[in-house]
Parts: sequence; structure tokens; C-alpha cells
Amino acid sequence: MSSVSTKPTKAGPKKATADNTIPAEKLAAETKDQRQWLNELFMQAPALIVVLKGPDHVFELANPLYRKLVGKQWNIIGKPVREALPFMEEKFIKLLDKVYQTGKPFVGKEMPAKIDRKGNGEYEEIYFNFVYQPYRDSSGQVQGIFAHGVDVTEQVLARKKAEESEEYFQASFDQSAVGMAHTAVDGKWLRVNQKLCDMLGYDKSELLSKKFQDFTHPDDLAASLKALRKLTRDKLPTYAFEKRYIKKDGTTVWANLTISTLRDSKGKIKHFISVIENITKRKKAEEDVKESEARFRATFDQAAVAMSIVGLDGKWIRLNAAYIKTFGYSEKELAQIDFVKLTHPSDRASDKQAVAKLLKGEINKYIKEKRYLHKNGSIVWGMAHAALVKNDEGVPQYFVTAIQDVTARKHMEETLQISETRYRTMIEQSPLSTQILSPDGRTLQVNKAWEKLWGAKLEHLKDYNMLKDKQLIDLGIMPYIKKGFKGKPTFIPAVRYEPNKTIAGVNAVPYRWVQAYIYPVKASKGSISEVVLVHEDITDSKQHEDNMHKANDLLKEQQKELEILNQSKDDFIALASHQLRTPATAIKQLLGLFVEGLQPISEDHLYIIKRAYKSNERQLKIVNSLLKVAQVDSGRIVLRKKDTDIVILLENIVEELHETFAARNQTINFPATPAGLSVLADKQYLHIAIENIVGNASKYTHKNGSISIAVTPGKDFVKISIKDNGVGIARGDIKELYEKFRRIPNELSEKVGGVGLGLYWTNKIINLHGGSIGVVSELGKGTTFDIRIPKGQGNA
Amino acid sequence: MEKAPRLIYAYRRDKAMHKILIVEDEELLREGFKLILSDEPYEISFAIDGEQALSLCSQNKFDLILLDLMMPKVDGVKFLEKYKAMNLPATKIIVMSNLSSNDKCEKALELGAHKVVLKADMSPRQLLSMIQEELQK
Repeated sequence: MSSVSTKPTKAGPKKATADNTIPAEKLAAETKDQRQWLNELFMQAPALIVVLKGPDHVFELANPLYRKLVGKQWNIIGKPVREALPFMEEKFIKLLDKVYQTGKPFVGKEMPAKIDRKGNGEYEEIYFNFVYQPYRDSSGQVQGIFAHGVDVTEQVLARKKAEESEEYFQASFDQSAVGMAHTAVDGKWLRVNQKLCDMLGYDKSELLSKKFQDFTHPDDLAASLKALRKLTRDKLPTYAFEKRYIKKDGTTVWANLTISTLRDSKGKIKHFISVIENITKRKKAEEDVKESEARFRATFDQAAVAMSIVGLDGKWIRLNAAYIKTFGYSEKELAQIDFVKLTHPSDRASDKQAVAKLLKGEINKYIKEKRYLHKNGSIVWGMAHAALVKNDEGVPQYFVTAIQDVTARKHMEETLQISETRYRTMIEQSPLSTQILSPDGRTLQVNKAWEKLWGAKLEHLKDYNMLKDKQLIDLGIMPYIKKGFKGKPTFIPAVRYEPNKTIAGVNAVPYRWVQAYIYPVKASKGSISEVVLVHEDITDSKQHEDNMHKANDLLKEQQKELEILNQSKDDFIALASHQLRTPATAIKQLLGLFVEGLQPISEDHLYIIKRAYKSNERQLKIVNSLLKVAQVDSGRIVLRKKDTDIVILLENIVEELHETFAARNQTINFPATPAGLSVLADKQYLHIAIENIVGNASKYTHKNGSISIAVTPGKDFVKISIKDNGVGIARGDIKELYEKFRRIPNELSEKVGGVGLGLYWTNKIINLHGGSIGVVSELGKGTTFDIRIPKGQGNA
Repeated sequence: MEKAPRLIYAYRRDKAMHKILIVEDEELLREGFKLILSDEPYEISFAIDGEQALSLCSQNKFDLILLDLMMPKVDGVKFLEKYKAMNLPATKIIVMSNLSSNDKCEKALELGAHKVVLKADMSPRQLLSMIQEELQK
């Protein structure tokens, strides 16, 4: 910057020294020359030159450059500054005042000034360097100010611009979102920004004292040096690569590093400029993606379901082990087969539609249980999931399919279906009335037998709830039903149910006798899924039973009647015995007085009386016989069995009948038998019974015949044999011998008389003793009766 | 046969004579008994039913009682029960009945009857000999 050098003068309003005085003429001439010269100088000087005079700084002189600068329109000569240039800033006027007053020059450097060159208010800023120098008169008194200056506006503006640019750079450097550094060729950090500090966890001073190598991950150092080589040796303008730094805390930071070189005019590298972007997050994300990719691959490959990626052309892009296993083809074999061919022909059409829909974007994915064909020809049931994968632009890329082999489940379902059908069919066709109910008592199903039994259909039970059936409650069987509904198989006892009472609209069957079985059906968890009720129609057997009951009642009634009859028979016997006998007894006693000689009577009359007496005796005998038989028949005879000496009993009989035998001149043979052989018998009844037999033997034996009685002890019985040589009994008549009112006709029967009750009664009495009668007879030769009576306990 | 004029009722009333009570509701039989026993040395009393018999028994001591079973009001079995219940002196009682019913005869024997005979079996002499026999025992 050049400045106008002016002859320095002593400051201050002091008198010029005498040493400086010059001769006047010479001085005048010189002054004139000087003035000329100065004028020239003013006019042509490339600097701004102005002479201001007096305290008001009146323009005495201004060179053309100055005039040009401030604007030629201004007529400034002879005018004070303030008046000449109205836009003149006060600061300049004050400066001028100061210089004028103090006498001290003022040097202004790059002073900005506003000028209104055109006078239209459009201010222009200029910068200039200037000197305000006072000039004095000879006395040293300040007369005015000599000012000269240079317009440095362009330089100032240029510099300012440069400065601004630097500031801008600095700001962007410091405030950059990425890390930035200037690095020396040797690697030393020259300049680093805050971001980089933040990134690496060091503060600026720490970084600037070190080289980048100190922070670089050892594994990436080689790459970093290689980058520098590329830039230096290969002169690449920039080089970018990814590397890791080690943070102050020891952790790793991934960075994308872009390095460029800054060279001087000679092309020598001044330093490197590095832009360091933290890409740790991205790297992490990339790693995650890689990891998930790996995971996906592993999942895909090891998945239990058959997975495949199929191209739009139907060729496999990728498939997993399960896929190969599911369909039996090797990967190589599959490569030869169209994807579609794996599908069962029946499912291909629907598949094709689905694929079309996928491609059109109508559906996102396709899920279907469908059939595939195994290599061996068998059907593989698969739950297929297919999805179309598109790229970012929405262009279909490939299909991803996952096929779960559900063949086993399908088979099980089919088996279940069959078993279910079988079970339903069995129930439907079962001859047992079957009703299936929900656990809350509603009827779910009935079979044909049920419909037949009740004359109703399932729809009749629409509003029927078994658990609320009042009839069942009234019948007292609800507790059984509830037990069944609670999970216990239960037998429900027979009841007479009237369907029309509880089931609306059913009238076909008035009633049914049913017994039932209730079986709860349990689900796998143990809860009751349904309840099966099986009715057994026992109406017929119940009616039969009823009839049986009726018959039984009838029998009971009859028995009662019989008992009454029996009782009345007893009564009859008692009455008869009394009423029939009593008059006869009176006759017997009264006539007996004469017959027995207790009352005198003439012989003639006695004869008549005797006839009457005998007739009365006969009547009494018949009555007695009848009564005895009646007694036996009524079963009311109670034997009082005791040890009875049979020999004594027989001797008594023989003695009693002595007259009878004598009357017919019959011989009675009863060999002397030692007494002491006892039978267990009711003495009275056995006496009469044996007497009957012995009496008969006499009756049916001719006069002069003989009758033998023998007693033979057996093991358990005593045998009493009564043998005669009488008329005998025909073989055919023997079996009728003991019948009531049976009289066997023979040569003596007419004569003997009788009513035919003797043997009947005797046989009964012997039987009542637990004994028996046997007969051996020959007509005309005689008869032997063998009576067996149980032995008495007193026997040895 | 209220009067039975042709038949003589003779009662010999000796102090030593046995006293016999005959309990019989049938008048004709009572008549017969009277005739059969008229010449015998017994003091005979008659009762037409058990009630009357009990009344007689409470006032007299009989040596022998011939007791019918089937009678109105108090029958033979009831008589025996009451007789027993009244703690009357032991007397020989012979049941003479035309009943064939075992039960009643058995019952009578149980209640202390000495024996049971069928009236219809008894001829006058048989009756006399039985009485004689029983009184001598």
C-alpha cells in the first residue's frame, strides 16, 4: 500500500523557526513552480488528494480522482466539507476537526465510507486508506488539512469475501454432521471437527496430538495405508473406504472414510482432507440382516415343513430337506419336474386360479389344504401356504411356499369320519331306542327305534329339555338321570311314561313302559360332550307282568276262598259231627236203655227196638266214616307221634275184634311176639288204621277162614303183615283199592256193605305216619297187606 | 219229650253219694243221661251250658263232670279255661262230645280234662261202666 509522502512538518501551532526562512523572490518563484508541480501532481496522482482549509474544512483543492470518487456533480471547491458533501459522515468531520485542532495527523486504514455519488440517495460503500495531515502557516499555526488517500474498496471487499469464505468453511467444518479432519502426510491430525471428537470420544486436543493410526482398528490399518498410497502414489483425487476406529472407551466405530488431497501450487500434497461418516448403525443393521438372513436360511433348511422358493416359471429356486422328504424326490429329480406336477390333478385347477390371483395382486397369499403326489404315487395331504414376493417396484419375483404334511392328520380325520359314520349308523339302525342329548338336556339326535317307540320325531323335541321334564321328576327317576348327566353310567328303573303329557304334538303312543340306560360321553378333557340315553321298551313284558300279577292276585283270592272253604269245611265237619251225631246219640242212648236191658220191655218190642238200634248204629258208623275222611282230606289231622309198642297195639286190636272173628269162626294167628318193638306213631290213629285192615281181612274171608298177623322189624321200618285166605282182589282192582268211595265188587262185598272209605282213610293215615301199605293178592286165594311204619326211637 | 212220662226219674240222695255234674245243652241227651243214671247211686246235677256249670261249680264240689264241648254262650273249652282260672277244687272232668275236631279235644285235654270220649260211641251201659270206672279210680 503506497502512501503519499509529504514533507513532514512540526506539529503544533508554533512559530516557524528562523532557520527555515528562504529569500522571498526565490521563494515566490519556487512557490510558483512548486505550485505548478503540485498541481500537476494533484491532477495526475493516482491517489486521492484534497486540501481543506480553515476550521470548517473548506475544499481548497480536490484532484480529479477524488472528484470522480465522490461524484463530479458535487461542486465542492470553496465550500466547507459539510456543505460540499452532505453525505459525509460525521465521523470524518470529527476526525478532521480533531486533526485541525490538535495538529496531529491521522492515518486511516481501510476506512469504510458511504458516498452518494449521484446524489440520489443510493449510497455506495467504499474503503480507503488515507492520511489527514495538517498544514501550517509559517507561524506554525494550522491552516488546514491536507488529505490524501487511496481507494482500497476492491481489496477490502476481496479480502472480506475471502474471510467470509474461510469463516464459512470453518463453520461447516466445525458444525458438519460428519466427522472431518485434515491430516498431515505423516498421518498427524492437523485439524479435526467436533463431530469427529464425538465420534471417537476424545476431545480436540487429544486428537490433534496424535496420528490417525493411533485410532484405527488394527485390522483396518493396512486398508487405511493403502488408501493413502492410492491418493499419493496413484494420485487419485479421492478415495473412499470403510474402516473401523477404536473409541476412547475401547469400543469400535465403523466409519465410511472419504479422503481427498489438498495440494499446493506445485502439486505437492499439503494435507489430506478426510470426511468420516459414522456408519456403525448401518453396519449393525447390515450385520443384523446378515444374521437374520443366516437365521432364515437355517430355518428354511431345517424347517419341519416343506418349504420352497419357486420361480414364476414354476422351477424351484430353493427348497429344503423337509421338501425332499415329504415328496420323496431328490433335489436333482425335482429340478426336472414342474412344480405343478407335484399337485394332485384334482387340485391343479384351483391352484392355477389362485396363482393367477396372486399375480394379479387380488390376494396376498394362498392357503389351502390340498393333495400332492408323492414319488411313490401315494397322496400327500398338505396344508399349503403360498405367497408371492415382489420387489420394491411391485414386480413379482418368486413364490414362497410352505407345505405342512397333514397326511397323518387327514388319515386320522378320515378314520374318525368313518368311525363317526359307523357309530351314527349303528345308532340310527339300532333296534334300541336311542336319544342323544347335550349336557344341558336338549336332544341332539334320536334314532328310528326311538321314533317308533314314542311315535315322535326329533322336531317334536325342539322345546323339550329332559332335565326339566316334570313327568320324569314326578316318576321319581330324575336323580338317576342327573347322575348320568354328571358322568356316571346309570341304569334308570322302569317307569310308565306318557309322551303326550310332556312332548307337545305327540299322541301316537298313549304310554310306554321303559327302562333306560344313560351313558355320558366324555371329551378328551373329561368334560361331558353328550349323553346317550338308550330306552328299553318293556311295555309287553310289563303287561305280561301285570297279567301275572293279576293272575297271582286271582290265585291268591282263590287261595283265600279255598282257605275260607277249607275253614268252612272244618266248620262243616265240626257242625256235621255234632249235628249228625247228636240226634243219633240220643237214639242210641234211649234205645240202648232197652237194648241193654236197663229198662224192661217185652220181647216183641225189644226185637223192633233192636232193629232200630242197629240201624242207628249203622248210621252213626257212616257218619263217623264220613267225618274221618273229611278230617283227613282237610289236612287238619295232626299226629301226635310217640314210641308205640306195636305188639301191644296189635294185641288190643285182635282182642277188640275177637267177637268178630268168633262170629265167623275164623282163626286168628298172631304168634306170640315179644313186646318192646316200637313204632313212631299216633297210637289212636294207627290203631284205627290197622283195625280197619284186620277188620277187612275178616270181612272178606269166608267163615272158617284164617287170618294171620306178623310183625317183622326192618332197618328203619317195622313191617306188619296181615294175611288172609279170603276172596282176594283182582290184579286190576288193586290200584283202585285206596280210592274214595271205591268198593271192589266180590262175592262178599254185597254182604259186607260199607261206604268205601275205610282203606282210603287208612292209606292216608299210614302215609301221614311216613309209612306205606303194600298189597299182594290172588283172587280166590287171599290177600296180604304189608304195612310199614317207621321204627320208634326206643328200639335197640 | 219234656215230661217223658214212661220213664222214671229216680234220684237217690245219699250223703255219701258221688256228685256228678253233667253239662249238656241238648235236652234230649240230658233226658237220656237222666234215664241211664236214674237207678245209680249218684247225685246228678245238670247244667245247660258252661255258664250255668261254672255257677254250679262255684257252689258245689263235684266228683265228676261230664262236659259237652259245643254249647251256646260258654262252651266246653271256655268252661275249662274259666274253671281253671277260678281256682276251683280239682275235679275229674270227662269231655263227652260228638265233635270230631281234634283241635278242641286237644285243647280240652290241655286245659285239664281227664279224657275225651265220643258221645256217639257210648251206649248206656258203656256210659255207666265208664262213670263207675272213673269214680273208682
